[in-house]
Amino acid sequence: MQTVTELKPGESVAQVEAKSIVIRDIDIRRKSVFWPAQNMVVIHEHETQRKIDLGYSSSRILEILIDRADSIVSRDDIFAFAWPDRIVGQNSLSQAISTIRVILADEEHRAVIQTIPRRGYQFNSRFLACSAPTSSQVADSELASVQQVAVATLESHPNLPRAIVHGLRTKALFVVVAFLVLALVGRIEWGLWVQPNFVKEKEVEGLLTSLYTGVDAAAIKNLRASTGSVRQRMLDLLVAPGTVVFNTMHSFYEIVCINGSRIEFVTVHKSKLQTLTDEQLGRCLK
Amino acid sequence: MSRVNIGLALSALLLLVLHFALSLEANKNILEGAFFSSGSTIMSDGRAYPVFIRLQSHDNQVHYFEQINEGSQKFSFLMVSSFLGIANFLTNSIVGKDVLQDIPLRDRDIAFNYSYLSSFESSLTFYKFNVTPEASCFYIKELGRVWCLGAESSPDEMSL
Repeated sequence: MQTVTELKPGESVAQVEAKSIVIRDIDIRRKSVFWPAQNMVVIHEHETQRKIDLGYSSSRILEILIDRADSIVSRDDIFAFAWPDRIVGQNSLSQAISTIRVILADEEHRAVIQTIPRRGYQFNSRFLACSAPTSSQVADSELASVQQVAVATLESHPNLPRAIVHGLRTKALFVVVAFLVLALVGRIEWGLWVQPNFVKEKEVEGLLTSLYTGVDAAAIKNLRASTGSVRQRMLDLLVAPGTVVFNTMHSFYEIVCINGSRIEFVTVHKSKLQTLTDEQLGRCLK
Repeated sequence: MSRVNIGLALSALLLLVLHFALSLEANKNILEGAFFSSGSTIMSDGRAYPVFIRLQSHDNQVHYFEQINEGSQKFSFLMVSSFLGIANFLTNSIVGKDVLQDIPLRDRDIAFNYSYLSSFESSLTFYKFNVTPEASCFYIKELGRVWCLGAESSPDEMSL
């Protein structure tokens, strides 16, 4: 019927339109014959033959992958070759690859067409052989015999309903995941998460741990400068480790002393900060 | 089921878990129980007033009691949302007489804070920050105030 020859180095499928390409299956009882010029794959299985119309784009994808077998073909190259005049999305390519895998019975193992993450796809030449007809009669005979078999369309291919269901399931799952992601993003209180208009700084000196809070770094800088003398006096008054929070509340300073689970504070107008007595500070720290 | 579908299904499951965790977190109280602090407020005219604060929280309600000088007032806040120790509240209607009637508040910042807390449905954003394990400290964004609260109450007699 046909002779099988290896592809010659550098030989393009497009250059040998008259040739068919035999793609071996993992199951040795099955093989697929790809006819690039006819956008067609003929499946030989259990002494029966089925013709599958691949369609133009899927046929071009298979053609370029075989043409560059064992090399990674980028998605951009595939897009340019399979959809030369159209801009299509990643989904179209993924769907086409998925369909080709189903036709080649490769959807489970993915050994014939391998996905290289973030780079593209690669056809494994181990499954590849090129059948060149010894004469045009052979090719005609092959085609004629193909035409005599029941022409199976994509819809009648036994694996295709599975492929369609698989595709629908993937799409449905993708929609669910996208919805859940968007809902999660929408539910998170980003305004709280980023804590706008709030900064804090910690300073430890001797027994005193100081925490400064404010609306921004400039406010903290001013606060540190303004309360420096009070902080020094508190440091002198301390006999045991203590923690004090300094904050600016508009025209007031808040000095909050943390004494274990007991909290004392002094809220003092800015103009009266220097009038704070040691007794008042000591009471805060006690 | 293909690896893509398995990955998508696992992602959906993980996202559902995250939604559930977020629901738990959003309803989590940032305070539970009674907390206290006390001190003094020194006005621009030099007058000093003793202040006692008690904060009681349950469910998604916070009751804030403040005694300043001889006057006192209770404010109530309703938690709208929370996230990792940060929470949004809305003020409820106030109970008791207006504390501003008892002290001559010349300082508008103090007066504004009481007025803001007294207004119905004023928004309050609490940013919790860690100081010590025993103290719960919050920065109230709208007031520019720091509230640090502890489990221990101060002695009743407040002196300056």
